[in-house]
Order: sequence, then structure tokens, then C-alpha cells
Amino acid sequence: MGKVSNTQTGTVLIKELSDKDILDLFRKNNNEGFRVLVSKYREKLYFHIRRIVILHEDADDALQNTFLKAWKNLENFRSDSSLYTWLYRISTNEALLILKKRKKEKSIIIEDLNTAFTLFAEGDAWFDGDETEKKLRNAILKLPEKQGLVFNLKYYDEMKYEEMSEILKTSVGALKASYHHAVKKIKNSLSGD
Amino acid sequence: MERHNNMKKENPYKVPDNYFEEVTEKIMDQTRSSSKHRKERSIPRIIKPAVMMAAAMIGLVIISYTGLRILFPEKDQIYLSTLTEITEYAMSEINESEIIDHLLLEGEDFLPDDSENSFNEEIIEYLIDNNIDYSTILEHF
Repeated sequence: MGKVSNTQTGTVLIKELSDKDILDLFRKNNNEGFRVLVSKYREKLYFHIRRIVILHEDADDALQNTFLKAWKNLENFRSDSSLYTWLYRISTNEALLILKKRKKEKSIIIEDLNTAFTLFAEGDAWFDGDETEKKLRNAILKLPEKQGLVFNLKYYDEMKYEEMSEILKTSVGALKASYHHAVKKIKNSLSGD
Repeated sequence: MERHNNMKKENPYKVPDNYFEEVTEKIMDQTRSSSKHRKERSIPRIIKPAVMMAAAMIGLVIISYTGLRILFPEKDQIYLSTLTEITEYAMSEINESEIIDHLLLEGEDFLPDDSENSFNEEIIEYLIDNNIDYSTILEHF
């Protein structure tokens, strides 16, 4: 398998490692195996979280919490689900926890949450999108929480419905319906502007 | 500032330079300190529940024993003293003259037939034990 390095070859090797390889490595050497796990999944998980919480600082917190939880529980991980969907589930929960915390801190009532978040997002210094991307981001933020999650996972992560079902504990049929409604609402929102 | 376009769709979110390398190190530092914490606590964590369970069992036994002793103190002695009281009461109620009268009324051949020359041993013992004179019986007879 070779030692992990920072060269492009090394990075590609990590990305190509299967979950089974990572788990085997972790069992031989916890630190090395876990470092490989973090290196493989950090970007994917970060941007998944970021799309939920919007702000970089919050995404940073949630990402670290995600991996710490994974560290504590990886020894007992059974291959009932894949490592990938397991990590996504943890990161989704961590992101939603941060959202709840922010809501409490700012005393935002539920009905205003989505609108508030679009205004909130306007102040995001780490957003580099053009006007269309900004509108898309705001349109997604206005969706109900679960629809927003489904849309992000399908559209940005191109996740299969079966994998999504494991993460969100929702049936495939319900997820498909959710995505369909989300797309319709976003289209209406974008064309309305 | 870095813009990450690893996703097929345009990703408008950016991160500080070297963010992912730095966050990896931060995470590994935290896992190391979390491991250290786990090792330091591991032995007490294993022993503590076992000790607590043993202490709970001993406590239960002590409480049960104490409770039984309070509810049923000196059970055997109570039984004996009660029996003694009953016996004494019974003996106090016994009137020997009534027994003799009863026997006479019944026409019991209290005295043994001379020809047989046999006494009921129990009666004899009773008379002796209670210091009843034979002549007293004869007078009544």
C-alpha cells in the first residue's frame, strides 16, 4: 500500500483506498489508519456540512466534531453500512446540531429561519460564487430542512438514493419525492427572480 | 484564498489556504489527547463498576439480615418463653382434688385390686410428684 505522502501520487492513492483497506489499516495502526480516513473524506464531508451551515467557522467545528466522533466509535464499527454513509450520517447530525445552536443563540423563530439564513449567508466572507450560484444557494436555504438535505446530497454529491436512505433513515420513494419537490421549488424560486 | 472545484458541479464555497492540511493535524492532535485520556482512565473504568456491584450486593445482604433480625428478633426464645408460660398457666389451673373427685364420681376403681396388686404407674408417679397422701385418698373413698 505504501506510505502516505503529500505528493499528488500519494493523494491519489489515498482516494483510491477502499473502506475495507482503511479499516484494516486502522486495526493494525489506529493513528495511521485514521489519518488516511480523514484525508480521504475531509473535503467531501466539509462541503456537505458547509452547504447546511453556510459559514466556514461552523463547518470547521462540525467537521472536527464529526471526525472525533468517528475516532471514538470506529473500533466498534460494524460493516452494516458503508464507512462513507456512516460518516455522512454523523456529519449531517453535527451540522444540524450547529444549526439548532445558532437558531437558539439568535432566537430565530422557525418560520423566519430560512429567510434569516439567506440574509445570514449574504454576510459569508468565504463565498465565491457568482450571482446565479448565490441565487441557487439562497433558493436551497429556503427549502424545508430535509428537502434541502436531499437536494444537496443528490445534486452536489451525486449520491444514490439507496445510500441517502441509509444516511437520512428515509425510504427511497420518499427521498425521490422530496428531491422532485425540491427541484420544482428551486426552479420557481430562480425563475421568480 | 483557495477555491475548490473538486466537485463536478460548481462549488462556490472557498476555504482559507491550507485549511484541509491544518484541520487534519488539529483532528489528529485531538485524537491523540483523547486516546491518552482513555488509557489513563481505563483501569479504574473497568474496576469501578465491578467494585460498585460487589458493594451493592454486600449492602443488600447486610440490610436483609438486619431487617430480618429486627422483624423477627430471638425467635426461638419467644417460642420457648411462650411455651413455658402456657405450661405454667396450665399447671396453675390444675386442681388435684378435682381430679380425685372426678375419679371417685366415676367409680373408678382407683385402688388396685388387691388380688391383682397392680397400681397404675402413672397415677402413682403423679401422687408422689404432687405429694398427695394415700391416706387422704382412702378417707375420701
